[in-house]
Amino acid sequence: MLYRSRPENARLLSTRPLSRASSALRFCSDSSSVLVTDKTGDCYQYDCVEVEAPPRLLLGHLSVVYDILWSEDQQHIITCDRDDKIRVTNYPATFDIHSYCLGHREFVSGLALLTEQHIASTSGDKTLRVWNYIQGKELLQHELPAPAVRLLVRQLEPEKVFQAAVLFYEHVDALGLYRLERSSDDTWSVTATQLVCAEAGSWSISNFTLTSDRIYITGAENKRLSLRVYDIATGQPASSGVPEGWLKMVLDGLGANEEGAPPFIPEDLSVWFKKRFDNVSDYLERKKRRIEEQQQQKCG
Amino acid sequence: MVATGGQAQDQSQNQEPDVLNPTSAVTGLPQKRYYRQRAHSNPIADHSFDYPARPEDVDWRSMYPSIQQGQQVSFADVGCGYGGFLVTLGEMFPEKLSIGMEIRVKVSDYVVDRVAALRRRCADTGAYQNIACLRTNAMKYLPNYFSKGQLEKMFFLYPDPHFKRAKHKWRIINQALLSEYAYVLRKGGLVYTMTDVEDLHKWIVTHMEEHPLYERLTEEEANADPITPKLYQSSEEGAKVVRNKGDHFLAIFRRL
Repeated sequence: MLYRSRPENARLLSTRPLSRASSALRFCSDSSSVLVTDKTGDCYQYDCVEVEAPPRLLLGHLSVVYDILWSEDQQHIITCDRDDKIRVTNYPATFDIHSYCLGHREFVSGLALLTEQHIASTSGDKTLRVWNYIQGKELLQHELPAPAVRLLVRQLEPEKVFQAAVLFYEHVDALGLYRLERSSDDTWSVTATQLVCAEAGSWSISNFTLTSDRIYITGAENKRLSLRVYDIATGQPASSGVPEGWLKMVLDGLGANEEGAPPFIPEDLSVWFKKRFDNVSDYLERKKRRIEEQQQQKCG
Repeated sequence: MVATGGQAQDQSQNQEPDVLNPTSAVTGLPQKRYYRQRAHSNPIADHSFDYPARPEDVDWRSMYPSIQQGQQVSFADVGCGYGGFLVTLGEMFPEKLSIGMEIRVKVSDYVVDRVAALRRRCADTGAYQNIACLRTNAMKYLPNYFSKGQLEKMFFLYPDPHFKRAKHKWRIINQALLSEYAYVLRKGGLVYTMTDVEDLHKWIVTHMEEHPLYERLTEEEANADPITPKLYQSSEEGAKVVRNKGDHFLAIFRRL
C-alpha cells in the first residue's frame, strides 16, 4: 500500500498486491520508486509515479533479505540476508554485482548509509560493523552484548559523526546507542556507548525509532500493542515533553485499545538464527566403524 | 547400481590400474557402494556447513598441500558428483587448480577419499595435487570461497533437473544465481553446461542468453574447445547416458 503523506493527513495513492510477504522496503532518495524484498530473497522495484506499472524483479538472494539500502546517488542497491551476506548491486544494471561485504557470521539484520562510500551493519553474530561498500572492505568491528535485530542511524555531524541505535535480541538491555566517529578517510571508531534498558523483559519489544532526544519503542504487553517513550540521554521513561494522553491517542488511532482487537504478537525472531543440524558426524562415525570392522575381518 | 559399479571397474582397467581395486577400501581407492546417496538435495534448507566468512579465510593448503604462494583455484566443477570429470580436469590442466563442489555428504566424502587415494598412488609424480573436493552449497556460498573475477571456468554437468515447477527455484541455473556466477567469473571466462534433459537444456540456454553478462559460444567455437570431447566421456553421469544412447545437450557460454 502506498500513501502520500501530507501534514494534516495521508492520502492513499495506490494499493498493489505483492507476490509474497515482504521483508524489507526502501524508497529511493526522490521517492519516485520503492524497493520491496520478500521472504524468498527476491527484490522488486515498484514505480511510485506510474503506479500501474508492473513491478520489476531487480535481484535475488537465496534467503530472506532483512534490509535494503539505495545509495544517495542511486548507483548501488545494498541488501543483506540471513546467510551472513551484504551484497552491493549496481543500479540500474542490477544483473551486475559490484561487491560483497563479507565477515558477519550470522544473519545480517540491519544496514544504514553513513557516507557516499560507507555503511554500518548489525548482525546476529553480536557485532556492529562499518564498511567501505564500494570496495567491500571492513573498516570497523565492534562487539555488542547480544545479537542485533534492528539498526537505525542518525547523523550528528555530516560525513563524520553518527549515532547508531541497535535493538538487541533477548537481552537485559533492549537497546545500545553507539557514537560512530570517522577520524580519517577510512578510519572509524566507536567513541561512546550507552545501553538503554527500556524495561526489557517485562514486555516484548518489537521495534523502535528515535529522535534527537527521545526513543519511541513499540512492543506487546499482554498481547496488546504498546508504545513507550524513553529519554535518550538518561534511558529512563520520558517524564516531560510527551503530552498527556498522546500515547493513548496514537494507540487508539491504531485500534490497539479496542475491545476485541486481534492480539498483537511480535514476530518470533528465534527463527532468524540458523539451525545447524549435524548430518555429518553420524555418517563419519558409521564409516569409521565400517573400516574398523573390515580391518578386523582381514586380520581374523 | 550395476552400471555405476561397472564404471568404476572400467576406469580401473583403463586409467587407474591398481588404484581402483574395489577390494581394499582401506588402502586402495574407495568403493562407491558405500557412498551412494539419493540424487536430490534441497539447496535452500539449512544444512550444517562449515563455510568461511570470506575468501581470504579459506584454508586452501588443507585441500591442496602443494599450493604455491599466490596460487588460486581457477576451475570449479559445481555439483561434481563422484568426481569423474574433476579427475579429468586435473589430468588435462596440471598447472591449474580445480575444485569440485558437492552438496551431498557421502558423495563429497567419496571424492575426498578418491583424491587422497589417487595422490597416494601417484606420490612419486605428484599427480592429482591440483584437484580437491569441497562439501558445500554452491548456490549459497560461492562468494564465500571465491573473490570477484577469480574463476576461469565453471562446469555445471548433469545438474539435478528438478522437474516440478515448484522446484524450479532449486535449479542451479536461474536468473538470480547467474549474476553470482558472473561475479566470481573473470571477463572472458567460460561456463560449461551439459544435461541429458532437453527441457532443462532449453531452460539453461534461455536464461543464459537473457542475461546481459553471457553470450553463447557458436557450435564451431564449442567444438574447437579441447574440453568438449571430455565432457561427453568423463563424468560418471555422462558415461551412463552414453550407454543408454540418450541424447545429451552441451552449451558453453562466455562471461562478457
